[in-house]
Amino acid sequence: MKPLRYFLLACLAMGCASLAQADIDIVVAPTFDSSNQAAPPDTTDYEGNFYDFVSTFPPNPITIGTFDFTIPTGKYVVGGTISGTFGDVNIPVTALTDLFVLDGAIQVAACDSFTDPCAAGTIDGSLVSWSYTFTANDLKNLASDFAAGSLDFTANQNSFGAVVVGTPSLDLQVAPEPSSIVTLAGALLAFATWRRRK
Amino acid sequence: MKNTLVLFAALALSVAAPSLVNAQIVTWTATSSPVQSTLAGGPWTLSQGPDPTTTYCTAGGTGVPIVNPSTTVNTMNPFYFPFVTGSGNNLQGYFDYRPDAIDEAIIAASSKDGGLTWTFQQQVASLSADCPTSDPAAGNDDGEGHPHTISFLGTTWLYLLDRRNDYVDDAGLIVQRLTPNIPGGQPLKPVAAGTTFTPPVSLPAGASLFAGWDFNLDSNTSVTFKNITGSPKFKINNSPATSIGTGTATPLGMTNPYTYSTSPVTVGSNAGSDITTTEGSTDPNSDFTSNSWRVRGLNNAAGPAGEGNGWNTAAPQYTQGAEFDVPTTGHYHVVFQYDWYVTAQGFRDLQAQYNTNISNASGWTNVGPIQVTPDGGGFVNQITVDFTALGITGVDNNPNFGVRLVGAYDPTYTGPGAPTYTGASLTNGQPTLYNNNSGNWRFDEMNFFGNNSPSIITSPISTVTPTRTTGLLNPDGILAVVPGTYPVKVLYIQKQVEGDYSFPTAQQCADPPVVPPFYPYSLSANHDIATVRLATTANGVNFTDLGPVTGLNDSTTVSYTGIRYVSPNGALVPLPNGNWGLFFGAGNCIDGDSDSFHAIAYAESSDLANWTVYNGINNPIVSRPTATFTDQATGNLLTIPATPPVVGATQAWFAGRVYAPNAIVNSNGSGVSLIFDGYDQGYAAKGANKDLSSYRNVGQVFLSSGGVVLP
Repeated sequence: MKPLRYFLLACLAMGCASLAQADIDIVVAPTFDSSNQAAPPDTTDYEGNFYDFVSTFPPNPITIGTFDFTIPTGKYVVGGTISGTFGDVNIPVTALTDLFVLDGAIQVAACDSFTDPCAAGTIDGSLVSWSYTFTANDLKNLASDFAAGSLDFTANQNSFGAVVVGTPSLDLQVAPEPSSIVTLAGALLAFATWRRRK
Repeated sequence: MKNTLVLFAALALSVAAPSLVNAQIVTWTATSSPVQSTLAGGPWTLSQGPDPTTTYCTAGGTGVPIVNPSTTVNTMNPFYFPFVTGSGNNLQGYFDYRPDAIDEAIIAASSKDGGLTWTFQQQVASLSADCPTSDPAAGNDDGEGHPHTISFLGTTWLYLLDRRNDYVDDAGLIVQRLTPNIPGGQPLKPVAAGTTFTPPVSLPAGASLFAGWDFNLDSNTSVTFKNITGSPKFKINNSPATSIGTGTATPLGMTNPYTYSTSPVTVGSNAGSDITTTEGSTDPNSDFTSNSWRVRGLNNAAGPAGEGNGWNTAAPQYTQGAEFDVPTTGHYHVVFQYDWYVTAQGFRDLQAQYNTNISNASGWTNVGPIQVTPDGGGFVNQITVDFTALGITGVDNNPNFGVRLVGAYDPTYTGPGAPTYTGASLTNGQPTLYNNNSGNWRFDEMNFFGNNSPSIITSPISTVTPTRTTGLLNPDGILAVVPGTYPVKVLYIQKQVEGDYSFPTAQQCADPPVVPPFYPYSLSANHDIATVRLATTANGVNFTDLGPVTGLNDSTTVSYTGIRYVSPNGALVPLPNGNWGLFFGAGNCIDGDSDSFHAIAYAESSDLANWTVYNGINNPIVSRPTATFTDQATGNLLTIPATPPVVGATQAWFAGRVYAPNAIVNSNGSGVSLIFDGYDQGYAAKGANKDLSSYRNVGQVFLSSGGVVLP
């Protein structure tokens, strides 16, 4: 009986651990909005429309695109990071820009100063990277979007120029849902009980 | 004893300190020898036939310009003024493609080996798509060149020099925004091939070109002048019709009683304006040679009374030229734009005027600055008067509106008769009195733009590209962009053509020395002034000049070891602790040219405004051949350069010119790839002796920073 008991305990421990630790990563790039000026073959970057001081300024928010993904049945998102660069392989800078998900509710990056390398450029021409890891509260607010398998990605442009975002990427860590753990544990307990009676 | 030691050490440090402050940060050494770059694909190159009339185009020279497949690799010429971005060995280049007397275009190419080999991407901003044999009107090579780009705030801008005689070093740089990454990966999306400045083909919503003259469908009619002895007939047109909208054009002051200095003199003139073809306007009709309207009297040679040339210094200021009356009814934010041409002897200065009630003869008011024709005359295109931007009211929605373009006294002339009119051709760089017997003005693309509603606050031509920079003084090109700055800071070259005639003779270059075998040609002295200046821009178009920098050149030096000229397209290299290094083309009186191609020099600065040259004409990075000259400044025999060039001995392909260095820092910060341009010396020969086999060569050499790690 002892080996069986250890086996059950181990199974329960693994199931509980999976509540806090993802077992797979889902990494997706967005489907870009039609406003993207970076036409194919470049499908990894967003270059927005140009706005100067005299033409009509863009109505914020600007839709960059949508991250579409599928969370496997029985799994849920336990963590997530969105990242990219200001500027892309063609244009190494961006207009002053705030980046958001969840209809503007969660700000994930900002380029707020004309003299910041994200807007003015770096000395060596390299791109300025940005990254944002969702908080527990963010994950809670994003739950319905995750369940729907779609997350919007928008920008507020705050200056002359164009929004340029290079290689935006959404990295979601998923794990089995708690209900699955309970089901598994119940099944194991039933199995153990059956063995004891036998 | 201890105190003595401390005192000695302090003394030693204080002596050493100044030299430490001014010490050179990087001493460059070559780690390779210069080699000529190659180009895979792309347009015709020099190696594809000594006679471009039969090889430049398909079908033995009668077809279309050839485009080589990517499998064809040629020595990279004739390309010059390279502008290169990138990092390590992965480079994006823009080149000025300029086959002699055929074309000038901007070429994009990429390299994956630091500039040793390039792969063609696309050709844009081409002056002419013609074959040499077709003798096209636009088929010389004075197009758009000296490419340079600036990136900021999510935008990238391409700057080009408009090299035509009428614009070069006078008008602003041509600037247009690049949106790269179109299908096929070409980097120059908005620059259409085969284009130059033309009237806008598309306007913002609500804006229109509501009235204008291009004169293309107009013609002259034969008119008998019974008031002239013999009742001669002349084919004239004193009232050309509009090509768009409604308006009236009238010559001003051409019928007059003045005396003309023909031999014998002619007294009096009748207006004899006519339609004639002229090359160089923005009218795209017929390969840029299109009809223009010539304003003058009947004749510019001796004739009976009444046949004078029309233009005359006896005419009061602002009374000779042309008037264009255009009702602006229903149009707002009116913008007037026109091309103005002056023949070599025509009036040099033009003043625009406007009148919000043309029935009021005293209602004409000057608007905008006096326009000045280039030396020798020519077109000054797309002169723009934005009345709203100037704060002028009463122009919009006005049935009685008109403008005049009239002769103005030359404010720079102080000779006999001043103030008065001067001619378009300068003598030793100075204006001279108008000759009273020849010369005229011509007009083309007289365009009136407007919005259809006063609620539209933007200019009707606000989104038209390309446009010209403002605020850069006599720009010859951008020398370097300071990375990581906003407003963006640039070093640029101001070139004042024939500007040094006002200098004392001792500060003007004499004719260059003839020193065979490397300097065998008899050349004329150059009289331009090249000044390196700083400027900033927040929008890529409008610049604010910050004044000249010091230390790079001396525009008054006649020393053959001094740097008198600096050329565009240099290379700014970040150095440790916020300092800057600069590679640049340096020139002197030996070359007889202000394009600054005697050597590639190197300087350093801590503030971009004050520079110290560490590799000059006499100890250069790269140089034309070493020779012994009698120095103009001292009369002494000097071997120049005294110190061999950093990259080693001069090679034939850059013996005639070497300039336009670009320096790309390598991946570990230990050095740079220096990409530059060179000519063989035979290109400077005259006439049939001119060697067209090896000019505008792109080349490359690796330099080490000597242990200094570049940021």
